Amino acid sequence: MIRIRLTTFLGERIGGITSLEVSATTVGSALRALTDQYPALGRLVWSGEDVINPMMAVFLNDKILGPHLSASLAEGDQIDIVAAVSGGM
Amino acid sequence: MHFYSDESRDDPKAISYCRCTIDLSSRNLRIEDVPCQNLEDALGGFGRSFQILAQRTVTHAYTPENPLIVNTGILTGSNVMTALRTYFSAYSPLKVSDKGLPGAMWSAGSCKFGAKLKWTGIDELLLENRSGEPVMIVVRHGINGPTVELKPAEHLLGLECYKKIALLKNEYQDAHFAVIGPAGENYESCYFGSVGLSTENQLKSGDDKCRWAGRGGMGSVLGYKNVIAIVAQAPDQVGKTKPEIRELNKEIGTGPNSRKLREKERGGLGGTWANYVALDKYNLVPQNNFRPKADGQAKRMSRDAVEPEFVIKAESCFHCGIHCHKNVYEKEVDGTRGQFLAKFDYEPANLFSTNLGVHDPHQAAELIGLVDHLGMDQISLGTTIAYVLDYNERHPDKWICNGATFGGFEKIKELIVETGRGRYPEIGHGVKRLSGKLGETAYAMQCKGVEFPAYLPDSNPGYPWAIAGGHMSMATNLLLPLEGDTSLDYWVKAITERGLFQVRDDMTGLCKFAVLSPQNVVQALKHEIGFEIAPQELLAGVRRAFIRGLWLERKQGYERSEYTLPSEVFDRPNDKLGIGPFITREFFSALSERVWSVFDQEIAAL
Repeated sequence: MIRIRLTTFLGERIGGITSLEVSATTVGSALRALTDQYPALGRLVWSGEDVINPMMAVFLNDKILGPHLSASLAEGDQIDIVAAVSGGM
Repeated sequence: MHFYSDESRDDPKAISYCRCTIDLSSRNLRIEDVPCQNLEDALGGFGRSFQILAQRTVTHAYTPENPLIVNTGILTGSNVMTALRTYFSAYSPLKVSDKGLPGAMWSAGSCKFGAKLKWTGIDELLLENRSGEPVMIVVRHGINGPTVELKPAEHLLGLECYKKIALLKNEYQDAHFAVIGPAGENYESCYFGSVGLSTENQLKSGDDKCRWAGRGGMGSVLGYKNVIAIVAQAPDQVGKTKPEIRELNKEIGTGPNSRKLREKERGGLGGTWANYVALDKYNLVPQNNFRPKADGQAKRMSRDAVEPEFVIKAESCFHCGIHCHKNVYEKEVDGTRGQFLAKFDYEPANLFSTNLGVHDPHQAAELIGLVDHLGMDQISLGTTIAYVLDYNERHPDKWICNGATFGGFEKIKELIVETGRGRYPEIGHGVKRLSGKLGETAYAMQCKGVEFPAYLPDSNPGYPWAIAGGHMSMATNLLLPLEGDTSLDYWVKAITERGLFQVRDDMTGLCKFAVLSPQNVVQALKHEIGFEIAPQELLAGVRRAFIRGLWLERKQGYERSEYTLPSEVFDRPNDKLGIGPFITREFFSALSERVWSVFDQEIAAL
């Protein structure tokens, strides 16, 4: 399983959940699984079909990823998705 | 703070706090335990201070009747990472209704002063009247409880903030300090004097690395009261950290919420400064008085562009693992770290560079450092100067002040120095008053007398409902680029259901950068204080405190028509923006109706 960690800002949109596990083979499919389960996050995570919201930053095990989310995942990997802007959030 | 009884751990009325009331005129001091009346009292910060202000009749900020309240939050000085906040509250000289009455404000600052104050045994200083002579307040931890005394402070007058602190450090060991700068001393001419709070790093290095309680001119109110400094002297009281708090601290320091503030090599995005790159994707970086041109100039102040010019070191407040201070130093010829220049946060970095038409980071660092030296709110000063430059460009034949225009570094520098030294009251009184006198309010970037931070009003219809500054008391300033939703329903909910809860940590003592969930906060209260409340109770208390802020604005004469945006947002939409503009007069009118239909009921029920 892959753990996805959300910031409080994202978590408050889905009842305060800030950590969950999904089954996925790529970062993109993990985030898709997240937003399929929680459609309220769709607009924050995606700006189009398989295009990440440019205001969001995605980290895989502490390493920031670019706009392409095709990186493969291994059991136990951790994904963080955070807003790339801050101040007053 | 302490509980009366171990049997009422869920009752805020079972908690009392220690207040010292100081009559600065008579020099009478009274230290007493005060029972909390409600949850907001117990949480502290503005939740408590606004209840005091609500009971006062104050017609001008600079009158003896205006109290200044210095307090902490319930968690300040605890083992929770970032729990260091000190709050300064009063009727503000800057925030003013159209009737001319001062609005209630608070301002918050971090690092160790708040913790030291808490460790003296004092939770709150209530400053009444004004002193005839310049004084400093010395609060000490004593064997039989806290002691407070007033001491002469003439020797501090005229000194820049960090120089005051350097002097005080030699007089008081194991202490931290809150000071005003020349701007606060020149309170009649400068309404946005800030309060500088000393940092551990500063006491060791001697650099100007204060943390600031900047908004609303609380430093100017201290100046009026003739209080030049406050000393909090107490031994550190850092106890053993419980496993639950250790886990919470790990989450704060290494979890997703602090990634944006951490350094890239620590899995972060490099601080608030990173906003430059993100916001520039939609041309939302303020330029030339909040009017982006989409000409690529904003990129010149991004961290990636600036970093090769300097050495940037991420430093922190006491015991904080986030390291959000992006301190900029000169780079020596051999690449090593030279003299400290300034701390680059997004707001000051933007408001003293791109938004003034200055695109040289060395010049920006000099301007930011200068504002800190003189002890002024970076946001209010930067935004007011941007208006002056804009006015001068629009009126080349009848310019004001020194005729400075966008990009005119030397003249901008002169405006800063002269304002801080009290010689430009037209700037020092803020952009609402200045634009009103000039009869050109359409591009004065303020609401209710409080200048906007570095986020465009074109992208944030929530600004008018911020009760103590636009990006720290209504969290709607970044929603447009994040979600791109321009529907009325979305914005009503954003303001009335989410944005207002941003003020929670203006009560608890936590830093907003920790971004703890309500569940985390109640866990912290339980394990650190032994205070057991549910997240819903916490949120209800925060909501009441916010609504009380709106009630206080109404008490001070604010009319519904004052909850608006600069009219150029409606009448001169900027087609350079990559998203929007969407705030028409019709949209805003409908939004206002719906927001007030929610808040009016709650104000009436308060």
